[in-house]
Amino acid sequence: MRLPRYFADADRVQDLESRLVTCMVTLQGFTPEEAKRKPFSGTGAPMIVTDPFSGVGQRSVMTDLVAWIASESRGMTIAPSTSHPKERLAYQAGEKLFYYRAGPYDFGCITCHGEEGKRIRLQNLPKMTNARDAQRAFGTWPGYRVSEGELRSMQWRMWECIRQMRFPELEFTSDASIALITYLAKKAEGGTFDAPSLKR
Amino acid sequence: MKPKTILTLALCVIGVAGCATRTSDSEAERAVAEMIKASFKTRGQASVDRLKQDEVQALCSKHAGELPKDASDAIEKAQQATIRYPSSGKLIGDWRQGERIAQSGTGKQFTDDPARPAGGSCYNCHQLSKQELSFGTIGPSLYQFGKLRGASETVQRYAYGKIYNAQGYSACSNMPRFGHNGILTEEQITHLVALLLDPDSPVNK
Ligand code: HEC
Ligand code: HEC
Repeated sequence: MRLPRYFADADRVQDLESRLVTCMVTLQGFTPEEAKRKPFSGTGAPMIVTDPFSGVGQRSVMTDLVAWIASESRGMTIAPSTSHPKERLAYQAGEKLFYYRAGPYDFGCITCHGEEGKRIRLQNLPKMTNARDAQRAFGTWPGYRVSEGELRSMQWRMWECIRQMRFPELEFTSDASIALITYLAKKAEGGTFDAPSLKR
Repeated sequence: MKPKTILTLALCVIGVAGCATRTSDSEAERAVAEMIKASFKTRGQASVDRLKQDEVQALCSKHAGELPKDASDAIEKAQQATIRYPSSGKLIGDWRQGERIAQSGTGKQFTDDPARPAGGSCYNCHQLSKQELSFGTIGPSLYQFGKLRGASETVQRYAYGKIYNAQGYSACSNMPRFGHNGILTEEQITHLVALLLDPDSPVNK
């Protein structure tokens, strides 16, 4: 399991979702807007309007693809690459973003994921600088969230924590989202990839 | 040793760029500034201006967990000076309303209605009453806060001030600055003070 990593054709560090967008654009003839139109189930417009597997367009084909491809990596060791300068830059930027406190609540990722054994209400919070916590947090997405009855991806998890931080909306497959995921992947290095999983 | 490793080492030894294990810090700073600009979009009440840090946020991000003592003292002094006490002088409101505010976790998210008052999300981080078992642990338990400390004017002013601007007492606290950042009104804060200090409040049972 080596994502996110640098791809020469895109000249960019990419996670699974951003890579899929590139493939859909360069190989399948979608525009970038079409490929990114329905990043998560239940939001946005359907990606493929007449998708035969998605009923009325509630489901995200992107998320379904992510879940299937991730399942092919189940059991592999989490081994993100840091050999390319852009990979190292993404990691360091991700680390800085992790500690970046802003907004009306002064929140940063560190506020909720910086100490061991804490919770919000009854939800346990992983400490991301702790390898075991990070391995579980990174290695179990995408996952099926029982509370929502929905399959969710790592891009969604970033989007959702950012929303709860009272930040503006995180753009799907943006550089900040990929930098944060790169940082988490590195913290989870050596763990076993165990997605798709079942989530609260 | 694999051939590729040998090659990398060889390139390193002769000083080819790219062998350094870390990119320069200023380069990473620039990348972050770019990302802050390009990766977020205003949605509802959550405008991109929110990503601009004030001085305290910038210092707390930079020195996460290891703020120098003089910087910490300076933050506390400046943040205390921001606290506005109600002109009526009355700091204790109605604990029943306080309990509702403490329970509510909404407010200021782009999915929240800006016309509705925000909650305090106190239970997200604190234990308060004994009945509510779904409480977080980022902050200390506040159960029996008033019973243990009394409700003298000093304690009232501390409780009000702490909720208004937590960093006036503890620099870089993980607790939001509810009054200073316009999340809660002065009146809402007095209801929360009542929740903490009123002898009839479930916090003190
Ligand atoms: C206000 C608190 C808060 C902040 C700030 C926050 N998170 Fe979270 N995070 C949560 C909660 C709550 C969960 C869900 C835990 C659960 O469902 O058990 C979570 C879950 C996660 C998970 C999945 C963990 C798992 O095991 O499934 C990841 C990854 C994550 N957060 C990353 C981040 C990142 C990166 C940031 C900063 C951009 C961030 N979080 C900021 C509260 C927060
Ligand atoms: C994001 C988590 C968080 C939220 C939300 C939060 N607090 Fe806190 N609170 C903390 C932390 C952490 C501390 C300890 C550090 C400090 O003193 O600032 C604390 C400390 C306190 C203290 C001081 C306790 C003492 O022993 O002197 C009081 C009083 C308090 N909080 C009340 C509240 C109230 C009332 C609310 C709801 C409006 C609230 N908090 C919301 C995290 C939080």
